[in-house]
Amino acid sequence: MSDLIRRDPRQEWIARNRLHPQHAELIAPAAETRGPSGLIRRNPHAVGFIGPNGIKRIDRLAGNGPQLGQRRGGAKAAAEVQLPLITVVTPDFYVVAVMDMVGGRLTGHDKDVLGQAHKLVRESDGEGAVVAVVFGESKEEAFDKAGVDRLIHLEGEAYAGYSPEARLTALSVIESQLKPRYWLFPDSINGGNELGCRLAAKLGERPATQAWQVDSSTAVCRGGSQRIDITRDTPRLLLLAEECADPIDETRHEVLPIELDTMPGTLVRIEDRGQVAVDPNQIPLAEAEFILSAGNGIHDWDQFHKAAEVLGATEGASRVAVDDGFMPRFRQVGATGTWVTARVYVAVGISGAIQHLQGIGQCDKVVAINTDAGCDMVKRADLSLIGDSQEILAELIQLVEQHRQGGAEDAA
Amino acid sequence: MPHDLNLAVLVSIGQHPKSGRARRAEQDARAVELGLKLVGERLELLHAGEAQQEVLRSYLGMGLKEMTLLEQPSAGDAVPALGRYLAQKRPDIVLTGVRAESGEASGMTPYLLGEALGWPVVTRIADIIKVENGEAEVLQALPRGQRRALKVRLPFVASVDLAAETPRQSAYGPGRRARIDNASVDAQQDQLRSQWQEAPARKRPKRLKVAKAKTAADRFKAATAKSQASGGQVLQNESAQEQAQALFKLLVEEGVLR
Amino acid sequence: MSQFDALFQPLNINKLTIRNRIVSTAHAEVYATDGGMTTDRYVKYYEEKAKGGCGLCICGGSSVVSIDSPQSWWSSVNLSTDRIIPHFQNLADAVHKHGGKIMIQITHMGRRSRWDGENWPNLMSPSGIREPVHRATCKTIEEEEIWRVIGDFAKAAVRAKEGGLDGVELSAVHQHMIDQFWSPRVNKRTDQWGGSFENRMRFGMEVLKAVREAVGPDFVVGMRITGDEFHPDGLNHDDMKQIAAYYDATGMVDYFGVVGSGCDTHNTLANVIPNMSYPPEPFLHLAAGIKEVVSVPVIHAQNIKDPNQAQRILEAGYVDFVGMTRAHIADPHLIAKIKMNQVDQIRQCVGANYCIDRQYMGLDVLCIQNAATSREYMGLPHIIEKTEGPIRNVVVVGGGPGGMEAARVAAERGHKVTLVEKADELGGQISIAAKAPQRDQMAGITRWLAMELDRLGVDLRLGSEANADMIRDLKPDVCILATGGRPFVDQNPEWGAEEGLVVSSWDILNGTVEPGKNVLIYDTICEFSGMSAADYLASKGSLVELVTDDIKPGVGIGGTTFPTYYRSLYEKEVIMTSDLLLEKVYREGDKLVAVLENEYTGQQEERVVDQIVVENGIRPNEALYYELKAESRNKGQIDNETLFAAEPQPVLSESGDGMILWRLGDCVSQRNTHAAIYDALRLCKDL
Repeated sequence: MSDLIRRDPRQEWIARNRLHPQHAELIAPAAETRGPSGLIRRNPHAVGFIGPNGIKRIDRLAGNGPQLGQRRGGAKAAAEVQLPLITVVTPDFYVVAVMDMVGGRLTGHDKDVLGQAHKLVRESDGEGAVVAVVFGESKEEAFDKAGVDRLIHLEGEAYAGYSPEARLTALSVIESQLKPRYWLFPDSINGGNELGCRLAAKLGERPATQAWQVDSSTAVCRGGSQRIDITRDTPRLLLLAEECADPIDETRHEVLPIELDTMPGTLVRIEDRGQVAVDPNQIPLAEAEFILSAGNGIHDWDQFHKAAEVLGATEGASRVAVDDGFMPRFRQVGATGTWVTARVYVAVGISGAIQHLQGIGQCDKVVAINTDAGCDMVKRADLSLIGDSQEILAELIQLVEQHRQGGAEDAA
Repeated sequence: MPHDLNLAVLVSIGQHPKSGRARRAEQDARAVELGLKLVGERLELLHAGEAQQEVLRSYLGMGLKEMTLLEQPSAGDAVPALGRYLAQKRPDIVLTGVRAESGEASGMTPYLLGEALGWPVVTRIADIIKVENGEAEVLQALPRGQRRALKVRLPFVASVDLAAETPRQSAYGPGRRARIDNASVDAQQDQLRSQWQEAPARKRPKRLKVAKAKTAADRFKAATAKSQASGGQVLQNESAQEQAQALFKLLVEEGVLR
Repeated sequence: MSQFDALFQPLNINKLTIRNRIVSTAHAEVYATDGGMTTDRYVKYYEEKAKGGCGLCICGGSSVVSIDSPQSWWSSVNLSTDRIIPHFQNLADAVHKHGGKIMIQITHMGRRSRWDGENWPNLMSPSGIREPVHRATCKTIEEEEIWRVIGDFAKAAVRAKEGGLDGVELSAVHQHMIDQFWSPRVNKRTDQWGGSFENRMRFGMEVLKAVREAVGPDFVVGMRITGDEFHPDGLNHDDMKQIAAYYDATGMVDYFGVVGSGCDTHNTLANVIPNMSYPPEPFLHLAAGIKEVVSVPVIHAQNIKDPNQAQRILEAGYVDFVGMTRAHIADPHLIAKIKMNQVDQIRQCVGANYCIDRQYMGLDVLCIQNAATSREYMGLPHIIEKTEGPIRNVVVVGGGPGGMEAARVAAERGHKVTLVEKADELGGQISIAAKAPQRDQMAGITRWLAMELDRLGVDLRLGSEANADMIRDLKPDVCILATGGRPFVDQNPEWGAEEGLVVSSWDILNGTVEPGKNVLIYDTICEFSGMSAADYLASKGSLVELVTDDIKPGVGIGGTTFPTYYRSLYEKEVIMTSDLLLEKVYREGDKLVAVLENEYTGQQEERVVDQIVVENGIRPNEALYYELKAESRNKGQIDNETLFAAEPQPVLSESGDGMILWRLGDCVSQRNTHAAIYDALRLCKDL
């Protein structure tokens, strides 16, 4: 909004002219106006009007009482703050961070590693750029806010699935092209540890592993069985523990792509034959990737179990469903049960008690199926389906079964 | 399994995470279990490092008559000796744990051996299903309890995950009677490591919600307020079929439908 | 390793070994009698926790060290006299006998009190600034008084030690004297007791030195501090880290207890004992932050109610001890049940805050759901023994909290129990209350009872409305009616309930009536139901005005609960209007018009709305009672003398024909959940 005061000469004229028919209306103190500071000014005496039987009347829907405002935050409710953009025009050096990208998005661990990368850049002389290396399909939309100055995105058949050999070749090309000052990997079971170790072996670097406190001179690494801390000089290649550094959250970065030189061929001796079906209910709830969770909105339990089976989802439950005896205690999700980390959490008939919501705090995508559009689970959810869960599950089961048959035919 | 399959298992001295007492390492014991399943008593048990008899005999007590010890000082570097020994013996498969239970525990051993021998390295395996025509079918443990099938050419190095079959109990008597052969190797000091400082691990609680709020009111709110609407998509008037379709689409996009 | 092993690792505080990691932290009990002495009721209350396995009890929240810090308003413990020593010895023996440890919180409350009673003192504070929550004015404390209070702290600590207690906790939290000196919000002094960091710390430091000097190095001295006052002019988290590190560096503090939030406004006060609307452990990050900078154990309470939650917090190492104080009020045998693998049998705190809301009114702390808590001295049991007398056929009508508790206790006694409930599910009015936003945890009260009834094999007849013939057919020895009531919307015929002009808050919360667009709620009760209906309607998008003829809407709701309602209602722009009577309702076109009258002026005004909700309390359902009364052996009467003394009803040992008939809960007269459960327990424990 402009700070200029906008004058309306006609209104001013009416205000001066007491004989004008609109004069009274204009000067009567309105119940609510917005003052020059942007805050609401309320005149509590101006509320209502005199009704037909001579009694003061308030009808809020007719606009003569205090209104339900549109978030009266005033000036504070301004649009989301645009974070400052950091640019690195000609980098003196690179810090390369290889990302896990579980499910095609940066993980919390990845973001910690990028935070660490910037910490190392700040502590080094000269202007450095943080390069993120991403393999495979990416759904990430916020590389800029995670601190990525440069992005190397390698997609295609060669990098699909389990492809450590091809990925290692690519990292070798990056090594010779960018000569990174540091190589950073998340020390994770999602590929970071493996790729980091492979590159270290290939380059003959002795990596810092499970490093959790790193600056440009020393690195503190957690040793075996989490029993010791090793303090050592910071090497060029680091495998970083979770929460090694705070993620970037107050700046934006350019995400300029870097093209790589031509890639040499890779001798592939490990062939990925695809994922193998496992019984989702054998997977510990805390680790399950995909959870179908039931609350007291479920009436047809057989259908629920069938849906979980067809979807290949691990079963979870709300406290009420467990207390009522429909599900065993070890299936309970929430503060009073298990904290889950599923990438996709589908809550069927769960209204979302605050304890339950705490337990799904780390889930990526939450889907609510509920009859009550106002419940807290719907507020938390990325996708909400308002309606009868039995009908929706029935449709879903059908879709998935068709999909599976279709898939089988394609394969055949 | 081919009758002439040669398999070596590297074992280390484990450590109980709470008491710190030396013990059979959990992953290594699973590697031995897997080896026993594949080739029985013919598996070659190897240890490079200190000669901690009690612990080594607990591996032997799983049903083996002998093992080879490549003795190294406690702060030594086991890899060069192992590399030379294996290059000479040329087994088809070398199994190790993923990470040691004590010391640096970098997890580099299988990779360094793979690099030294020029063999492929397969990580975190749960099982070896079969070996034929110079290839092995391997089941790899993935995060979140998932599994992946791999095919790999012999010879190779593989690290064994905790997801592999639980190891059998160790029998004390046979373990005591089994033989430990000392292969003579050069001791290799770990120069770099001698410069490091070790201390008991400091407690490192996971980060709690990072409320960067600056004002008192914002800090108050960040701690106490429950979740506000997150701006997710709400399908209210669509038919059950359309709603199911939307969910199906999300499941496919996220890649959780297998 | 057990699922809850982190709870059961013993840990030392100074030289004192605490057997597990669960603490009952200091709270004001309002049980001390005879001028602040820890007498029978007090001792038995803590003995029960120790018996149940609690590792450490810190008793006596805000126990005073000086005669000018009044104790009588909250019946708190008085350490300003040697008279307390033998009472402490009783208390210490009772707890030690069961392997527990007990310490006491000591304080001078400064300005956070009331002056208009007891010795009529001038309250004192560093700069004489009024305390808003207690509406307490005070004088500026003088140098001589400062030193006298420091001496009082030391003397009080010695009394605790001589009484055999295991330690003292200095309260530097909740805006007592020590943290009044700390906080720049209320310390505006320019002498050596104010201004710079060291100066503001001086009073607490001198107290600490004097206490340590007096009790020696081995006696536990802890400190309870806030983690962040949440006031713009107060102490923030970084300040508190600095303060904790400063005192820790003296080596004289043996542990820190950390509480999130200041509490000298109504809104912040609600944080201190978070009710059911809060997330679990909302302030753990503050305690964890303090733990980072101190070298001694850290205790943290606030909304930790469940063993899984406690295990997770301890295992992660955020703090060393978890306070589960309200959890112990709801079930003092909590730890024993965890150990015996009976986690599902724990009567879990739901955060209704009946306990603390009573305390702030100067009433004794009671649990909404466990009537035995703090009544151990009267013989009310936490564990119900089987009867040695005749096994009776007991029929309970009504599955609300009172009826369920009656059925539970009778079944625990070993009787054959049938419970008849009209609705398809148990819960009664609790189920309605739980439908409001932020109130869903209420259902925990009856959910636990339902699980217990299931475990005890009570014959449940849901969806069946009892009548006299049905009862007669069941041939009960004892029939207990707990049939509740119905909304009293027809008290004034002018409201037009008959014509359907008004609906009840039950209709709204149960969803039997669709929310209107523009709604007026007329609430004469000013407790939870009206506020809940307003919150519910507003959350569905209705424009809501909550009108009462009382002083203000929600005036009957306690100090830790009305603020969370206000947060929610103001945010949704619910208008709260006081002092207007609902005179009449009439229809005008498709609208309803409410005629309101100001009680003080007689001035009338109108509201044009499309829905009017009347919350006017409950009218008891007593038809069945009057049908059965005549044929019952006791004519439906309960002998109050024995009831109040928690003794067996005489009729149980008298012979005679016909059933014994009792009624309890709202079907007699409207009271509350605790009243219904209390009557059920004391009537049925000797059945």
